[in-house]
Order: sequence, then C-alpha cells, then structure tokens
Amino acid sequence: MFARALARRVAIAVVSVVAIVVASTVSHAVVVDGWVHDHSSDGIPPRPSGYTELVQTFGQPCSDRANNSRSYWPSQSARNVAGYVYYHPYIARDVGYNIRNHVAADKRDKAVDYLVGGYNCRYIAGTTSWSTHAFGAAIDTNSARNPMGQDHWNGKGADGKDYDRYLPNVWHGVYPGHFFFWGIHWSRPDPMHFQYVTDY
Amino acid sequence: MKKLLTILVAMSLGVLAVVARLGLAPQAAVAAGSCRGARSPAMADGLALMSGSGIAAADGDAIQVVRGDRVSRIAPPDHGGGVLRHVSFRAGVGTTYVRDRRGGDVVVAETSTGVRRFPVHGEALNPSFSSTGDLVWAQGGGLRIADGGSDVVRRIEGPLRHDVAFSPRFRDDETLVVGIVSPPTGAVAEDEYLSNLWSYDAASARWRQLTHFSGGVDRWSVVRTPFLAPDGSVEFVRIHGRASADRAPSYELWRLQGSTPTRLRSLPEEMYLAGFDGSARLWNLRDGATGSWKIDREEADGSLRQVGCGAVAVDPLDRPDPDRRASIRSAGAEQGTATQAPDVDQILVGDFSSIDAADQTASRIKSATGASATVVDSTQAPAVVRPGVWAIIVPVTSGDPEADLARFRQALPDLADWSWIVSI
Repeated sequence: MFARALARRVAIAVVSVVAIVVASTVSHAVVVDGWVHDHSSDGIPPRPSGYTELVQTFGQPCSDRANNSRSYWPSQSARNVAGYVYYHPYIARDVGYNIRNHVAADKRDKAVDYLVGGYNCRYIAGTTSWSTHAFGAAIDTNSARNPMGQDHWNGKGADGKDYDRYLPNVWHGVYPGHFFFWGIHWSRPDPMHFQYVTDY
Repeated sequence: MKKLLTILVAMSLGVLAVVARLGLAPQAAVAAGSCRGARSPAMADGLALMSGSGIAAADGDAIQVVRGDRVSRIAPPDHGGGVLRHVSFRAGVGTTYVRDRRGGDVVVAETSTGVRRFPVHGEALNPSFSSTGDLVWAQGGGLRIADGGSDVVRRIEGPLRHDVAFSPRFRDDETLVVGIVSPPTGAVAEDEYLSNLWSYDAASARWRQLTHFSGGVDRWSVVRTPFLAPDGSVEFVRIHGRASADRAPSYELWRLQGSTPTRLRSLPEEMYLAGFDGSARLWNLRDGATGSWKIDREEADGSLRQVGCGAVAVDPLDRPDPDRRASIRSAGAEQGTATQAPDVDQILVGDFSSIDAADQTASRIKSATGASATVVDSTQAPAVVRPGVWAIIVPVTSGDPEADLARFRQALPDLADWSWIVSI
C-alpha cells in the first residue's frame, strides 16, 4: 500500500517535471548556441587609430549609436552587484561574444570587481577632448582597485583572490577579438581603462 | 623707361617683403572649411608674436596670428618637438604655449627679453601672461608661476586634494581665475563630472570658489575656456549634460562680474571661447570629421564669421596627444580584419518583468516586422539578460546590425529605447 502510494507520487512528480520542461522548451526555445572559443579574425572589425578614424568608425561623441549595445557583467555597479554595461555596436562582438563569454567560460566571474563601465558622455578631466567612453569605444573594469595614475594592475577580484593579470590578458590579449588598447601604457597610466582605438 | 620699370618692380618687391616680414601678409579671412590639410608655410617672425593685438593659435606646427581680418602663420620661436598647444598671446607682453611631449611637457614663453623654456614633469596646461609679464600655467592640481623675466618657478598648491587645475588667467596682477576639476569619486572613477572657477589671491595665498555648479554620477557640469573680457569681467563656457544620455550636452556662455556668475545665453553647438579681438568675441569650433579647429569672430548681430584656423585654449585633435600615443609594443599584436559582419549579432528587446509581457511584445514584433522573435531569459542568454527578467531576440538578417536596428526602431518606435545589439 505504502509502496504503491510512493510510486504514484514519484510518477506524478516526474510527469510534472517533464511537462514543465517540455512546455518551456516548446514556447521558449533555447536560441543561444554553446559559446565557441573563436580566436580567428572573422567578423572582428579593425581597430581605428587617431581622432579622424575614431569619428569615422564610432560617430560623434554622445551620439545615439554610442550606447546601442550591452552585456551583463558581474560586480558592475558594486562588489557582487551585477549590471549592464553599454557600448557601441562596433565592439559588440569583442566585448559581448569574445570577452564576456570568455570570462564566463573560464569560470572567472569573480576576477571582475567593481566598477565596470562603458558608455559615458563625459570629457577627459580639464580638457576639451571627449573621453573615448563618450564614443562607446572604451570599457573600465575593476576601477576601484585600479585608479587612474596607478602604474600597475591590482589583480584582486570581487572575492579578494589575486587573479594576477587574467583580466588585462583577456582584454588586451593577442587574439583579434581581444584586441583592446590598455590605458596603463599611457604617460599617465590608467590601468582600469581598455579602449578600441589607439592614438587618442 | 627700362630703368623706371626696374625701379618700380624693385620697389614693389621691397614693399611685399616688408609686409611679409611684419606678419601682415594680405591674406584674406580664411574661407570656411579650409582648416584641414596643408596651408601656406610659416614665416619666422618673432615680432608678430610680441606686438600688436589679436590672438594666437596652434595651427599644426605653426602659430597662427589673427588680427582683424588678417591672418599670418608664424614659425614658433623654439625648435622643440611635441605637439604645439594652448597658445596665449598678450598684447605688449608676448606669446606663450605648451610643447606637449610624451611624459614631461615644455612651456615656452617669448617676450621682448627673449625666449624662455620651462621643462616640467608631467602635463602643463594653458599658460598665460599677466600685464606685467608674469607667467602662469596649470600643472597637476595646482599652478606654477614665473615672475616676469625670471626663470625661477614657484609652485602653488590647488584648493582640493587630487584635483586637476586648468586655464589659469590673470584677472589683475595679483588675482588669478582658475578652473578646478573636482577629484574622482568611487562612482565616477575617471573623466570629469564637475568643475568650477576659483580665484587665487597671490597676496594672501588664498583660494576662493567663484562658481558653484554641481555635478554627480549622471548629471555633470564643467566650465571651460575662461577669458578676460574687455570690460574686465571673465567670460567662460559652461557645459552640462547627463553621462548616460546619448545626446549632445548643453553649451552656455557665462560672465563672471566680480564674484557673481551670470548666464548670458545658450550656445548653438560645441564651441569654446578663443579670446577677444577688440570687443569682438572669438570662438573655436571643431570640425567634427577631422578634429581641426576653426576660429570664428562673433559679429555685432551675433552671427559667426570664420577668420582663421587653429586651437587657442582647446586641445588639437588632428594629431595624436603624445601622452596617449601607442607604441608598437603597447598597441598589441595582430589586427583583425572586417571580413564579414559577425553572425552572432542579434537585436535584443527588453527587459520585461513578466513572461506574458515578453510574449505579447514578441507577437507584435513578428506581425510588424515579419522577423522571428524568441523570448529568452538569463538561463538562455546569461551574458545579456539579468536574472528575473525576460527579453526578446530578433535575428540580424542584413549583415549590418546597426542598419537592422535602425529599421527595427523605425518599425516599432515605442521599443527604440528598449532595443540593443547584442553578441551572443
């Protein structure tokens, strides 16, 4: 008697789970294929150099195009508080497909620490030059631990572990889809800053 | 007769030579749109950089002097490298500018006593003269001052910790007006969210804040290009906007009379004060495509007329800032080639707080565009959708994601602010 009741409960549970899964799959099919680690240059746009190419590629600063792409990043607005980062569609494949997915596939989300930022309509401090963030051409990561003027990378992630240069290597790596210029190489180093343009 | 002709030709050549020597080449006002590309070679003539009125601007490797409708290109009096920028001319005193170099800059000052060069550690910004020849520039968060004719440089700390000073101008021989950028915060880690004008009184060594604009994480306000107006007031440009907004900020002309700031009017576009020629305001306007700067004179009726080319108090954009120049090593390795548009780009519409709302909108997208529209959540697209909400994926079909997004937004304008290009 007890065994029969148990079997019936198990059967109901199994049917329920299957029904939920099937219904979900039918009405909302999984459209995203498994991420493939693609280090080829296919579809990777050339990185512009200088102001003229920057404007030709990304348009004018603070334009409607400059924040038309997004991806979801851990520790974006505060430690362990994830959020969206916005940027220009020109770097959508680099930031979204190649780099964000790379970090997730490596299971290194905790290497990312706040703040993480992309589009920002702002000037470079004290100048009449627009920041590359105003073009949607730059991403800051781990900003709190890597302020402007610091001449080295602090690799501590949101969990306090030291990930060394894992993140700079992902952003500034040798493969085409990871080909951001790192602000640490400027005269006044900016280790948090990675941009998809040089000589500006 | 032959002799007379020879004399006449010789006299004409002589007059032309004198005119050229004085930097008064009868060059008409520069035609609009001609600030890009090569122009006439610069003449070596320090006299033009010390006497007369008008303004001076960095024009490539030369200094362009604008006096009324006359312009002349002068070779700088020194031969240092780097990018010429932030040129300031004071009638009867001289001309000063920065040679922006990778690492330490050089401030160059030419007066009647000769040319002085001040190598500095780091960035030097906006040098200018007092009426008695004292020289000031901004460096880091503070100022550097060299008394007239002296090579000794005094250091003046800024009013805030970790701030950036810019555009110092002598209001009189004892008082300076200076732009001060508020220091970065945890929420705004770089770039500028707020600056105000301060005054520095040399006699008391005290700073006093003159404008009290406010700015923060999203709404920002900056001041730029203060200049002493003919009536003794200080005029400057205020720019304010929102960091998250994808539209141009607002530009305004302000006047500081005593310590009272007054908004004079809004400005039609991105433009910065370049000084005064007599009572006429001069403006720097950027060529959006090339980054070259033109100089416009504001006429009595408020209209603008181009009178020259070059950057006065603004940053030259048509050549790379040496401090941001990428070496071969730092630039990285292999470049990508735009072989084809990424096939992983798609249009994402969201976020929706309920699956029903997402389903309804997906149906509307299908009927309006004929495209497929698939509802996803964070388990299916974790890189672009946050947990607890739903979004809709619409495939990019043309090979041009931005064009597809524009068409999508045209078809469904109410979703324009909720649609993105994602790469998943």
